[in-house]
Amino acid sequence: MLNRYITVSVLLFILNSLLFAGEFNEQAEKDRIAMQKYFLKKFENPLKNAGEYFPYVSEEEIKKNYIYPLKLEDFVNGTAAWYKPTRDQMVEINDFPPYEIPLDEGSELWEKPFANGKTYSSCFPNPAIKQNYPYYDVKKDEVVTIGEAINECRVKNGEKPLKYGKGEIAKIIAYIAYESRGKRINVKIPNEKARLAYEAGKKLFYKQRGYLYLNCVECHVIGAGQRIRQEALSPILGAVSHFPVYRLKWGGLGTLQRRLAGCVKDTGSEKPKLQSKELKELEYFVTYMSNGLKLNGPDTRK
Amino acid sequence: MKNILIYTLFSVLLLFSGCSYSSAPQSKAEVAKKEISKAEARYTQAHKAFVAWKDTKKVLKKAKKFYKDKRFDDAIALAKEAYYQADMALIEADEAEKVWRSVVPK
Repeated sequence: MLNRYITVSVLLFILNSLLFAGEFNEQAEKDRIAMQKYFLKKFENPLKNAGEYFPYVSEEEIKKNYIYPLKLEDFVNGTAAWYKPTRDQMVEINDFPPYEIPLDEGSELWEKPFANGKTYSSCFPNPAIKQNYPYYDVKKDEVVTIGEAINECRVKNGEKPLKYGKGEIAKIIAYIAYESRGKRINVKIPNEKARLAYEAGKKLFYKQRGYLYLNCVECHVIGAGQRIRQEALSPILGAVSHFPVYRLKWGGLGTLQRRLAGCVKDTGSEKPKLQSKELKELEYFVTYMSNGLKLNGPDTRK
Repeated sequence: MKNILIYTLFSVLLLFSGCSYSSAPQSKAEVAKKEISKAEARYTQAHKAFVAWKDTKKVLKKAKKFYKDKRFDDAIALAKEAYYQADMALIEADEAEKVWRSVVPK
């Protein structure tokens, strides 16, 4: 009798969790599907819908430089997905990828024992975990990024946390990203607080800010597929799949947090601290938008 | 009697002119201090709301340095600039709050 009660309770709990899990990401799913539809339509035939989506691009340039139609999976390649000159450059650069050496170093760091003899494997038995980050930690009530998880592991093993953004942490994330290649991004919204974090990230993405009164959308949704002078703008869809990236501008490997902070600064806003609540929520939203796409990091970018 | 009145009036005038002369730099310092603290409060508001502009903190810092160097006019000018930036950041944040949903793909 008692066993039956326990079984029924457990089943009800699971059913309840599933039902509510569906509710918490209901809006997020609508947003994600709408974003995907927007980009698929935009890059279906740029020549045909230039008036609506590419008002500043000449017919000649579209014919010469644009790659289309794009499939959903193509968006993981960023600008190289739709812009021939960038694709050609990337193909050439990736003959000898500049991220290869830092990636090897990341692999060594992963294996290198801490002072207590343990390694990162003591926290992450399988390094192919990037698809689940960032995630919402229901105990801490906050978004946790891959960088934070790495530092948490270090602190747990008596080591000092690493500086976020570049250097050792970017190399370790590069190794994790490499091991996670091919896995589909799978960010979840487990409860109401996670939903609020997602909504906060969404607002930050869409709200104009800084002395240029810009939002992320102007460059990476509406502007994606167009140029600012010589720079071809990348779509937000799939933008997180290839991080960390070796950026030629940086002359080294950098994390997604570093890139996001740079983007916020480019609007004329104060540069946010890496791993600040706001920046983590932005990462949470942006990554959710790419849910279902395959990871292909690390990679090279301009 | 007439002389006494003239001397008294003269002394009072002298006293007041002296007072105003000696209080002039102090009053500018006070104005600068007030402007800096006003700008600082507004900047803190913008910073907490995560909408502060890129250079406001730097401008404020420079204003404080000018104040320290007793360059009160420069300090006042920069404090006012910092206040303006922080104020505009908060105003535009209010404006953006009303319209950001309109750009979400549907």
